[in-house]
Amino acid sequence: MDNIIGDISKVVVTRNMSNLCMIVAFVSQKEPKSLEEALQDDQWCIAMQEELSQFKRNEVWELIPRDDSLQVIGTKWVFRNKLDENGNITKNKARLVATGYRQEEGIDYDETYAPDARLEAIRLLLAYVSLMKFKLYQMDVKSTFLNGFIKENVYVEQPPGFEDYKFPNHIYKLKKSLYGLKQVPRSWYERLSTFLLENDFERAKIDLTLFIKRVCEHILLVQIYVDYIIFGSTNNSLCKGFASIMRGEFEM
Amino acid sequence: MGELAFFLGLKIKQMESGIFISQSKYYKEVLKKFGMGTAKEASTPMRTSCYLDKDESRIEVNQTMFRGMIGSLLYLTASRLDIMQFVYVCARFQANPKESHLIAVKRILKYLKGTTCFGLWYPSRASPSLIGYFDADYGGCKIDRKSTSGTCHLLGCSLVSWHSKKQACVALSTTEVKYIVVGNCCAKILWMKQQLEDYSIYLNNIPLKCDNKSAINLTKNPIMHSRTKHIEIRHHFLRDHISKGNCVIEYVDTKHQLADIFTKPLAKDRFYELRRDLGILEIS
Repeated sequence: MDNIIGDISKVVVTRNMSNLCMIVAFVSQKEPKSLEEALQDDQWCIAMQEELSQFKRNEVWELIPRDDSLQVIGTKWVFRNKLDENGNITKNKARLVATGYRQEEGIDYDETYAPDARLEAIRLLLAYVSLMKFKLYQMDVKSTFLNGFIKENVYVEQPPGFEDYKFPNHIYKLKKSLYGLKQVPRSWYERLSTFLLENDFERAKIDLTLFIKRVCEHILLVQIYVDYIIFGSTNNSLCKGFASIMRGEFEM
Repeated sequence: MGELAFFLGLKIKQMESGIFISQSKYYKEVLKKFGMGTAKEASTPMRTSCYLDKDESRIEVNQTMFRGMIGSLLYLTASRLDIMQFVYVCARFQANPKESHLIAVKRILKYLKGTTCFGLWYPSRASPSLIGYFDADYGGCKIDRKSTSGTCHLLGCSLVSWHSKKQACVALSTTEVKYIVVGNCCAKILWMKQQLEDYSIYLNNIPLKCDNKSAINLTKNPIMHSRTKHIEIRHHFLRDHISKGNCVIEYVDTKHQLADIFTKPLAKDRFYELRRDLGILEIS
């Protein structure tokens, strides 16, 4: 395809080369320093639109008229290239973040603590798994932190460069949390833990990030580490069941 | 969804016979970052005759770089406990690093260069039992004569948790030194015991191994004689848990004392032996 409608000046792509060339062709090699620079580059525009469509899908916010009495937090784009193990750029990632350092305690956030797994607890899990001879799996939730519900009323500016053309002066009221806000990890932990508890999981007594489900003699373990989810079971069908209910609830 | 292979920079290899945890990619980055890519390899992380002190007369070195090295090495201790004690010793001089301290840190890096393929091995053929080892050297720190304590905890044959620390107070005897460590060791064991209850493994009378007989006797017999009556209440925490049947103290001869590696620099043969027994192996 690339050989026919691609750039004339490019060398003819053989099948061996095409994999590498595809990446080069569809990924921008440079990290833009400013928004203006990013808007000039098609690949970065696509990345930003992808991020915003993620917002739409997760119903992160709603547009409301600006009111001077409301404290509005700014938003900012962050551009990062994702590398693979050999250091090749595989993806341009644009992330819209809130300038959480402008948040004030008591108004914009209350409680920010989220439990976190200790590395020792993970090693203990690995040691246990090796003794019980079953496999561990991992899954990634896409845009993890956009999944957490937000309790406080938080308002943010429209994303720079992507203002609503009809209401450029409106602001967004958040329904879900946004990267950069102080309460983000906590709201994600709450969302995930309530979901797991509703699905007959038990929270471990000490380690609050470990969830256990027992079915007859079998045990299903789910260990969460912020946006990493590690799980494994003595019975493989329990693993599959868990993966499918997770897929039903969150985007993977 | 996929098999767990990479977690927080740890490479996890799941095999039929066990699980292998390593940070091999990170080593190369660290070595390159500090220009040690072409350095000679060292057999142990620290010479047995190496004493670090404040070294006030010698040449100063770049503090930022020294701190960077320590920071990178500290992260490596997530899977490489064999260098831990030496990193901690060097870390004490971060405020005012001198040439001799930098040489010691570089020796650790040289040792790592020869062992980049090493990682933690969790074999699957073992029984689910907990064992704790604890040891301490006596007055190991030449500056304030405080002792260094070291503990490690194994589930089956898998090393799960370890610890090396200069004690907060000066002790009067080896018995007292070990008595302080065993409190730490016991606290960790209790945490692991409770955690394992969530996995439906119930354990009691967990053995804690020590090579000092008078420390063992002190836990059994609450006699307060002139040499021990000053020991603080917090260190008697252990006695309570022994009487409740949570753990027992057992004797192990110095040869099989695995926690030795966390308290002092060892000779090459002994170091290799302990490293192997703790499950630090090379698997490519």
